[in-house]
Amino acid sequence: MSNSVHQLYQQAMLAFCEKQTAQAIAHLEQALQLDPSYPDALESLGVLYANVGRLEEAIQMMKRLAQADPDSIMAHTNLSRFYQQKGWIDEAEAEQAEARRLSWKAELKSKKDQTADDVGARHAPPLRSPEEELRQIERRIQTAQKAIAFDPKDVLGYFSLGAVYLDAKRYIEAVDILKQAITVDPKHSPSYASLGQALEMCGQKEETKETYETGIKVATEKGDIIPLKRMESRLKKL
Amino acid sequence: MPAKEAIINVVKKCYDPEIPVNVYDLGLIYNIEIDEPSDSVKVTMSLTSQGCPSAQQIPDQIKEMIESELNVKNVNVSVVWDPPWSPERITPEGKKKLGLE
Repeated sequence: MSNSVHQLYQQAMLAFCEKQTAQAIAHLEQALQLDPSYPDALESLGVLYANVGRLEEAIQMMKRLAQADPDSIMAHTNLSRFYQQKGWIDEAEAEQAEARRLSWKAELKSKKDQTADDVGARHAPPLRSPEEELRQIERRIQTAQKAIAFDPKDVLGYFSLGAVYLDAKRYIEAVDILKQAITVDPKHSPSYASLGQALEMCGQKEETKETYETGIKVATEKGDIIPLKRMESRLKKL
Repeated sequence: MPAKEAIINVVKKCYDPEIPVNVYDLGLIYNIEIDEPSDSVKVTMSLTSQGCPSAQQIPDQIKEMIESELNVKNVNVSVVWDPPWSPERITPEGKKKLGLE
């Protein structure tokens, strides 16, 4: 994906935040002319089309998203919603069933990856010296900081930096940057999950619980299964 | 009194209307207890979510089928939420049918 496609997408998100829906739609349509299978643009444009009553076009976007990303839960969740609006109940139920199936698939894959990581962590020999490890961390920090400087309204830069600080066990810095992440995008559920983890490591039990509770609501609204399950599991253990 | 196997075979005929896998292969059945002296069967099960629209329909279906097909006098089906159901409980047959392998 080129920088210009990403920039158009970011411009669309900014326009949307400023309630300039027509402008947001224009930017997303441009982005898709450059990259017709860009999943985030397909999903966002579909949702915006639906918001302005262009239901047929919204459905087409979600169908394209399902083709571009066969495991996209949101493609089918949104199709279900749109078909309901059209009164096509059988079709809506079929899409809902597919969304559910894909969410189970994602959950199973996430558990499998987690197990592999745990096993890997137990058995993998150290690949880097401590000095190399530090240099790697610093490079990742610089990359993430550049991303934030390039676009201070892109939650991913803050989230990435938070992930690096967590890996580096710099928990106070992780808390600080991840709080910025959820300020930039209060609907970014993975940031809540990581923030909760950082707060736990800082021993902030009450704030951790509040973070997970809010994050769970956000993840539930958005259908973000993986961060949802992670936060539910951590909250139970607290 | 029927054997556990027979009860499982009957439960395998029960479905959540929204899912093309029977409730046993979906991993919803947590336990089956048979008490011969009282001619009773107790099934402990869960559902895929607390908001499942078939929350009453599925347990009722299981109870009726065991009573009628296996001639058991007392069938008690109770729904529990702990431990919560997860897709890991789906059997290999169920996963194959759902394309989750």
